[in-house]
Amino acid sequence: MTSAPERNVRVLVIDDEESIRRALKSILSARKYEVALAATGAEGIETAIETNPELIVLDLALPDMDGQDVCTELRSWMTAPILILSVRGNEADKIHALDAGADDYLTKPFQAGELLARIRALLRRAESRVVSPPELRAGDLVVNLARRQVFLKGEEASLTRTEFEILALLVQNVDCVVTYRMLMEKLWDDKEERDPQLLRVHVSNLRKKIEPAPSLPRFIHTEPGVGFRFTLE
Amino acid sequence: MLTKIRRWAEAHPFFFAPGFVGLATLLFIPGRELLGKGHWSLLYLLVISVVASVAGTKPSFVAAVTSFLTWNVFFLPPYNTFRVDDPKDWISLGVFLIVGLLIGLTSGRLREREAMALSQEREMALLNRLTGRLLAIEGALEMAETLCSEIEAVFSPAFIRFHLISGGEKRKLLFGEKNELSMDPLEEDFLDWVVENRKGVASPAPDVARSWSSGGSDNPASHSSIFSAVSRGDVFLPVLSSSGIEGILHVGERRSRKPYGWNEVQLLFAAARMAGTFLERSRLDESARQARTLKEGDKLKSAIFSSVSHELKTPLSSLTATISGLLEQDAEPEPSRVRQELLSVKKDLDRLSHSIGSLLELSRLAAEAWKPDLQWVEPGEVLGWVLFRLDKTDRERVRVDLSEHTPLILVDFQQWGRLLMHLLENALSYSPAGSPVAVGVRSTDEGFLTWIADEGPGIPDGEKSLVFERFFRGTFSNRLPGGTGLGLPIAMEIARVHEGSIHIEDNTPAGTRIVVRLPATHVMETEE
Repeated sequence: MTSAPERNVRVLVIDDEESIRRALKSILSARKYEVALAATGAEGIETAIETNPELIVLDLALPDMDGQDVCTELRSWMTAPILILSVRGNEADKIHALDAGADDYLTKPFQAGELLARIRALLRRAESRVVSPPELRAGDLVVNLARRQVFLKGEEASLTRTEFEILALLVQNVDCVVTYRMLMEKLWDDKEERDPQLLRVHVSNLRKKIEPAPSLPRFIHTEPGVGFRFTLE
Repeated sequence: MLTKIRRWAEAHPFFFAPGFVGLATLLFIPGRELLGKGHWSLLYLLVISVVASVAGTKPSFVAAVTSFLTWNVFFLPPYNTFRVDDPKDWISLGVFLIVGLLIGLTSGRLREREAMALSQEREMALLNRLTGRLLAIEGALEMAETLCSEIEAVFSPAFIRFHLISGGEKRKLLFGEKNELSMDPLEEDFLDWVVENRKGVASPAPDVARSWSSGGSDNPASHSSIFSAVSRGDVFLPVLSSSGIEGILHVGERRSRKPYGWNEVQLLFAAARMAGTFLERSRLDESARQARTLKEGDKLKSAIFSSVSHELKTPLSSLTATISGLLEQDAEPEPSRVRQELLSVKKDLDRLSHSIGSLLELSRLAAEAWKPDLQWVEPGEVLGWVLFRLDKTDRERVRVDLSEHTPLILVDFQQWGRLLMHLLENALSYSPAGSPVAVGVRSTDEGFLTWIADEGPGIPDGEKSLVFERFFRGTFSNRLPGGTGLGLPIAMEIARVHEGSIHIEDNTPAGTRIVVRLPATHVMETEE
């Protein structure tokens, strides 16, 4: 699980805590990532322009700028994934940053393994945006996006259009968080129709069709207050 | 039909009474010669009795006078004149008038007594219902709604408004709508007057029968005594309690425009007083609760403070020792030894992180920031979220027993998850490494149960209630060096804000079984 990337991926870390910057640099450098560091939001944006990183790790609590504003600023011209670091309990900040263009989040304190897994998932997703994802296999579950077919233990599961759309979006973002907003925007063009409670009902029905034990989800995990995450583990 | 006639008769006594007598006369005249003149007087007395019983005293007086005249004109010779030939008939006429008036007086009195008894009964019923309903109510708004709906049902006024007065003078409309278009220029003045004088304003219709029973200085003042020449049908009543004025009850004129009687104003006053007592009581309850929370908060703060020094300093000193030991070694340490030391560093760090997390959670608890954000979720969703956050070795020990179909539960996802997390971590830590920990759910009549059972040493009976005390460390706490003694109290607090509870039982054959109960109001069975 600790395999290094095939080439040197440029990662920018924006965090005001020196110890965190040092730790991240040592963890990432050991896996052959090329690490650039910034201590403030302004410096982070500056460094991003200079180094054009392929992934950004951004702490939400910065001395000079709101992490959310940094996200908005970066998103205005770059597409590289942004991973947010936040402390537990700041759900609202997290959601705002995700809405402002961040791609996923990690709650402090975190283990090195978790950080690396998130980074890998984000990079994988960034690449698969160019090449369409192959058929996805997770245990007994097979999802074929092109043919719009889903098999559980070899038997085809019949999903409604909405359920398939949800599953497709989750699978395209495997191991990454998919927010309620992303899902609702995809499902319902009309803003009036967007209803989180209804979305939860659809997800619940989807779980019943694809989870080996629907009452204890294994693939589709709930990220409370934020959205869902499809995991392969 | 009869009540309609009755109501019309009451409203128009001076049309009804002569009309009825006239009708009877038209019927009597064709048979004038069949009976003697004296017999006809008896029939007229019957007519007067009917009017008295249908319409009351005043109409029956009118009927008596009209009958007196018609009997004289149509039945006493010579006919069709007021003249009376036989002087004895003058005596009959006099007696007839007196008896007729007496009939009216007596039956009218009876009728009024009956009406009074009826309205008294209605009033008692209103107060009774109010008392009963107010006992079951908590908020001021709900109280105002109840009060106003009861008044509405009995009096059908054009409107009812309940103003709440807080901080001595500030007035706030709590219940009832105010139409800005039909602005009432004097309303504000009357409201201010009531606040200032702690007295009501009403102009009840004089009620001879009962005014003797009322009296006293807190009787309402009439509208015209405050603003001369103002005549209104509405009623302003102060909502009083022992500590002052709590609000104002403003009841509009009756939709039928019939003025309120003196007793009815007294009844409204009694209802307003009841509301005042209610408001005072709930205010006292609230301040008692706040005082209690404050006291608990103080206790909690000092407990947190004393635990911080212990819980944070211990791993810190062990960290310092380990790391300085590694740095100070003369020779380069063996890689295997470095790894071993690093593992112990990580253990200390985990413990630190765990303690800080729990303390943060508790300080939020102390700050009363624990308002759950309730949502309908599937129990397995939360459980999955919790399991996903456990170490792999721990996760493999957990045996989950969920039925295919579970109901939805109304919880704060994160808080409920943390509750389960604390209980699971406890169960995993207090039972032998590798032994299974079972988690299951069951829906019962009493609510939704989640149980977590381990195969550890169990909790001695004497300690079962103590484990919920903050910072209590049980007999076997040495098995959980990282424990802060905060896990169960936090879980308990989360259960409490969800109106649930936690019980500890012995597991068979060994170990502890913790049962968390969510009340039935937080459970929704779904179809299938």
